[in-house]
Amino acid sequence: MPQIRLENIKKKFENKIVLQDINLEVEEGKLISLLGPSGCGKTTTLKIIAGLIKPDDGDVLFDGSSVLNIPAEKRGAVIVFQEYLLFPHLNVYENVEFGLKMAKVDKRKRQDKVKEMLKLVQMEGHEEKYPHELSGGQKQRVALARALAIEPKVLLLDEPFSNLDTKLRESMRDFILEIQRKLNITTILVTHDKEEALMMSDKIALMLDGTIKQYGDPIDLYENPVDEKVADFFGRRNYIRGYIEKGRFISDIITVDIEIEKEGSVRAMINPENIELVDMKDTHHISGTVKMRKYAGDRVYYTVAANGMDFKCTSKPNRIFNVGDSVGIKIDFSRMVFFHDDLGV
Amino acid sequence: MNRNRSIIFKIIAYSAALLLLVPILIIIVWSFANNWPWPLVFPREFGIRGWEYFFSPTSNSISTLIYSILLSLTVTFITLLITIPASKALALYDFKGKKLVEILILAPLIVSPVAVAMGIHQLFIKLRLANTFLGVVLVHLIPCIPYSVRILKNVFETVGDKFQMQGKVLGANPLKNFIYVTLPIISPGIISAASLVFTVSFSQYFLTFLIGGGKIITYPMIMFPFVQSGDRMIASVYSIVFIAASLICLRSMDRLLRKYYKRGDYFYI
Repeated sequence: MPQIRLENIKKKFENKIVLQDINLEVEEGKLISLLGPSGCGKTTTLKIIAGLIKPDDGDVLFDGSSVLNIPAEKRGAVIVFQEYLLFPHLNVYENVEFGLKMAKVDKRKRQDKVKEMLKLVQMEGHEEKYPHELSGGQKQRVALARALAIEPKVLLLDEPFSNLDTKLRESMRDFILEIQRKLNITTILVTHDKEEALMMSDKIALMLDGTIKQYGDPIDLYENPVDEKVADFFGRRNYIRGYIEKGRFISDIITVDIEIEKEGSVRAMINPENIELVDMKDTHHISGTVKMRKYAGDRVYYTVAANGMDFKCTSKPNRIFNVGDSVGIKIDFSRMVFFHDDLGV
Repeated sequence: MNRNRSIIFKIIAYSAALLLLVPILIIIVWSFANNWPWPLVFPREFGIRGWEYFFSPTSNSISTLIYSILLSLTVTFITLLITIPASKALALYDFKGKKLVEILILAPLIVSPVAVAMGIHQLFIKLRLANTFLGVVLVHLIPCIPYSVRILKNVFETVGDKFQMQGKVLGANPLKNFIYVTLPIISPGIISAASLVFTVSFSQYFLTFLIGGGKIITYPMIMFPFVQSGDRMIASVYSIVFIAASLICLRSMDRLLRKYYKRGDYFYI
């Protein structure tokens, strides 16, 4: 039985539909991401799970029973907000202690728990400091300790890394993952950062325009997106319009034998990293001309004009081509994905 | 360029300070001057008749002062009690007729309560509130509430309800959330509002005079006759005490609140 289940959640704000038919299941101890652009309803979903917002329709279930009538303060789902929201009038110790105090845990136990939590987030020795004396990463650690102190059923993280600089962000990601694994706590992470979602999650729910477009493990979402909108969210892709007939993909640009049982008009998707640029000597590849080059250190992004189309291509920087160079394009056809094309050819 | 600017700034700052200080210095001198006729730059005869009168038991000055302070503290307390929830609602919630409520609350800033004081007096006589402590407290609320709402509404708008949300998910019920999260976070705003409200109430003359009907005597009421009759020595003494009393009260309120919420300097309004 999934630990958290959302059933047909709907929500409107002033006649604007924010969420329509959200269905989601989260297994115990897993970390899943709600991934999507800003305004897609992911934070609203998080607040509905926490009980800060009531859905217009649908149900939220924890361990199989509805929690809609349980107020946020008793639900056991804690949000760590983007701005950390440490109480400015309380020091680190008192901040972590806050939830325990609200739950009327006795003083001795509170002391032990706060100590344990501060040790967990490696913030021992900072007990007496006030939030304004802490750095961004430290604030986040304290916010995390404060949330975990009350042993919530679910940990909800709302864009937790967006206020940190790149380097700190990476180490905090590892840090949170480590703690999540250690405590085995069910966690829902809201993010607009595709890389973050891909790297951290057991499963990703991709949200667009108030619906979950696809829910699955990261590799599946990236390699086998259900439609082009999902595909485009994860980055640059190449699309070729054509049709499939008797195991053959036929188009103006390429024609190739495939092992997919589909017929009719399709759009073939090729990921930029599945295109390799080679020297023109190997004549059996498609030939093209480098139109644009963006060098990113560990990768190089090319745009190559070939057969009347611009191919987007990402390659390793071990062989660098210049703009204007003639190159051969080597496509890994086995990793092509086909979408039905209603418009036809 | 920069230097010029700082000189100009200094001139402005010092002249502003001078403009505030000179009148106070003059009253201090006056409070010890038996008379100070026109062409003299400095008085010739000094005495302590004014201070003697003030401290003499027959003048009732000290007891009136204490009574007045208590009255204004009561007004301040009740104003805060009303305006904290009201400001929160106006700042954070949407409800029908919000604009109207806001205009009504702020109306006393536009239409002076003095203008409607006669009507209020009639009503208070009927309700048996005229000539009572409670009546005076209630009438003081009218000019005090708008100031407090203006300050606190701004505070709530700045802080938003995010800390309340955080408190809630951490297990604080609405009451605990209010006491442990909301109040401390808005405490700097409470200090500002309380100071202003206290001053407004403490310097009310006409409203107290009308509704109190001579039965409720506050400090400004025993002070004004001296200002009017031209006994400048005694009037100056009363003015000095008035200023000192306000300052002491404001300072101690500030201290008390700051101490209670440990520190109020993390968040300036």
